[in-house]
Amino acid sequence: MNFIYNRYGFTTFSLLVLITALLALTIQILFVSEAIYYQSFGTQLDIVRINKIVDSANKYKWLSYAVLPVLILIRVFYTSIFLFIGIFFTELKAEFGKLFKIALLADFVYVLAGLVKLVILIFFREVNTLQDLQFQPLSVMELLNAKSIDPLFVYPLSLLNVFELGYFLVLAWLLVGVINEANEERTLRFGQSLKLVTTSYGSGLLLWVLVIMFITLNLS
Amino acid sequence: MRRIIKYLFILSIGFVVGYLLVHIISRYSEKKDAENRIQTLPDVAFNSLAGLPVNLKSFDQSKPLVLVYFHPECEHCQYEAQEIGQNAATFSNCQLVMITHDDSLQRVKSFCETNHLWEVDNIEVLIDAANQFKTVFGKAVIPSVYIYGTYRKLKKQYLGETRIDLVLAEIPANEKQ
Repeated sequence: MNFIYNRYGFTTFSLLVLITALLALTIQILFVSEAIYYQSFGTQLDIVRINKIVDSANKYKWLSYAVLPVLILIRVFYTSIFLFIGIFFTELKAEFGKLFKIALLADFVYVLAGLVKLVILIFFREVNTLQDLQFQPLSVMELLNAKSIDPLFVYPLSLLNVFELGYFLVLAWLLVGVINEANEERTLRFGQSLKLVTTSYGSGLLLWVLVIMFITLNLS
Repeated sequence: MRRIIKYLFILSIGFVVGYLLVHIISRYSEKKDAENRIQTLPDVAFNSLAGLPVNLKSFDQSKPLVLVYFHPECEHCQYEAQEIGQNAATFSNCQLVMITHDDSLQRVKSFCETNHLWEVDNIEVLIDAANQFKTVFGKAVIPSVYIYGTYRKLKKQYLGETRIDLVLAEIPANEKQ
């Protein structure tokens, strides 16, 4: 875990949080006005009730920025754990701190996804409701008609996207360096690394998707 | 040792994934069945405040039936109930059935009194003591509104808080069944 404590690690993490927060803030400033709440909920709620939602949203919007570092840390930690377990089973060696570092660096792929989303929102989409903001760019979900898809499958279909694929590839590419540095007697090729990432992080992702689907079904 | 841990881990993950998959598939198919089932008013009974079983099919079929699933402590339900109470007269052309799974009879009665629900002519408040609503309707969103019309066919369902005028729009005055 030394990585997160050293200056380089902390700077990387801070940069990741800062860019993610800036992207969220830009989307909020450009698209989340009071009008969007009225357009989103006006078909089912009274105006007085929407006023209340707007007040609450304004009051608690800082909260989404406050939890952002925690959410990113959890995501990076989750990836690192599954990578660590996968590597442990292959009898290769890798320090957890270094896996945490590559998971953190790979997380910048999601920043790129955020940037692409912002560009799409600014130039190619008309935003009328909050639902218009909830999409994952370049995903399978974008190829389908959202209204014809059961809500249960929206999240898994959104996860099947170009950036998730990019995340796997970047993770595998970074892992090659970490493994080869720690295991001088055994070298790992990119293909093998990708296989390792797919089985380890892929299992974690599958588990995560199933948990989300389980919660979605049980909460409704 | 490492091999044993490996197999144990794979087995544990496999078990969790298997459990989640089985649960998701069975719950999803139950939900789909319920979606089809509720297209006509389901044959299900809940308890009245007096503790007697009341079947949803036992109400006057010549009037539209409005089902409201609620909980007395839910703020959205309180607002919706208050709106119903304030527009009590406009509900005279339908049968209003309020269903809750709350086990506190005192709280349910107080909720009805506070929101003037007893001023609605045709109102029945029922207790879902056996938690059947979720099984029968496939979901138990609080609050939710189900409006049944001619031949007890589902006309509209609203999940979450809903404007009263939207509900009233589905029950036109003196609707011919």
